[in-house]
Amino acid sequence: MIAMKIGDRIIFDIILLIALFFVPTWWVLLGLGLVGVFLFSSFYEFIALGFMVDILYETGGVLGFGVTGFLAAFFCFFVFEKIRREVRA
Amino acid sequence: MDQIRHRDKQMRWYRRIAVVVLLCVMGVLSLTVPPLRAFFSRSIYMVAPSVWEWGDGVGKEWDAFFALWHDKNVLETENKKLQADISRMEALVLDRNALEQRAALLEEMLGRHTANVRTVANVIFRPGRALYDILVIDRGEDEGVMVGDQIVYSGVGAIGEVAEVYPSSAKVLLYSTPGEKHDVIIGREHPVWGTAVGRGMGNFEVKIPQGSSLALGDQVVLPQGVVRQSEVVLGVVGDIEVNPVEPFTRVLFRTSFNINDVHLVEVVAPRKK
Repeated sequence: MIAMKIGDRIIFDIILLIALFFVPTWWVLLGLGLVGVFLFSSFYEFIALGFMVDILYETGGVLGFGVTGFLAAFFCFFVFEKIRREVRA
Repeated sequence: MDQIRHRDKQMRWYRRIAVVVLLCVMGVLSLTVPPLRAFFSRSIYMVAPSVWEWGDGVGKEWDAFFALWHDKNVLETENKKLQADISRMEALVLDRNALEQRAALLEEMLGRHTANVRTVANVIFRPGRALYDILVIDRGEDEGVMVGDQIVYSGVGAIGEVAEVYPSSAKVLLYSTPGEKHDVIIGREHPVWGTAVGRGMGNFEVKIPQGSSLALGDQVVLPQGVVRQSEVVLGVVGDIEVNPVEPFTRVLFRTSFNINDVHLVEVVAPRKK
């Protein structure tokens, strides 16, 4: 059962990577990331996704620093992780 | 016992907060400190261009596969139309080349030699698929591309400037990126200066004083400095909004081509002295 869950998570991570390179519209990535946060515990891959969005597609965002994706993912992760714990408790 | 458990719980909570804060700081530093950002950018851009090119290749194979099921008549009609378009454009290109030669000759006679270094590049990632208005080309440091080089389409249509360079690719920030500002000149007969603000995907807005004489279809150009010497067209006026209450006129213009259809561009480097 645990092995299956790890396998599901790996498959989901691959889907996220494909979306990052070929469908990087913000609402698709945000939606997929939040689905991951709800499905899997401690889904830190969402924060890594935000980081990679900034590296790949950003040149200078917030105050010219290019951290929009990372900070948005960071904030959303902790808010929705908290919601997930409350809903699933 | 309860106190010990409560203290342990508190310690775990503080440790978690500390890890979270540390991760956040490390992430922000990695993105804002130039050497760290450059390291991560270069690492990812060693792989990213190949992934995009592979994706483009798969997309073309997919289209070719489904084209087999298209009605033959539809394909024949489309083929004839495309051939007619090609013939018309070949004639326009000949005319344009002749005009360009005459302009170059005139400038040479006036002592303004415009020999910029131009490199042709393929676009491997287009805007519209990402949150930010960037495109990625398949030329980089190895081909002499540098930060600040201008990206031009069809010889005169300005698209943007190189923002980051990697060994075999470069990231281009479009002039129309939301919030980006550039000085422009609008119109030819009675030129008006203004500051164009990007609205994304080739669209711009500029506010000019009321009463300025402009018309739909007027060209908007980027004034170039001494180094580049030739004007580059940024767009064409599409809409003019006049509000008698306000002291300015709002002009909306856009590039004369669809940025999503751009596959080949030129990297224009300042003339080397």
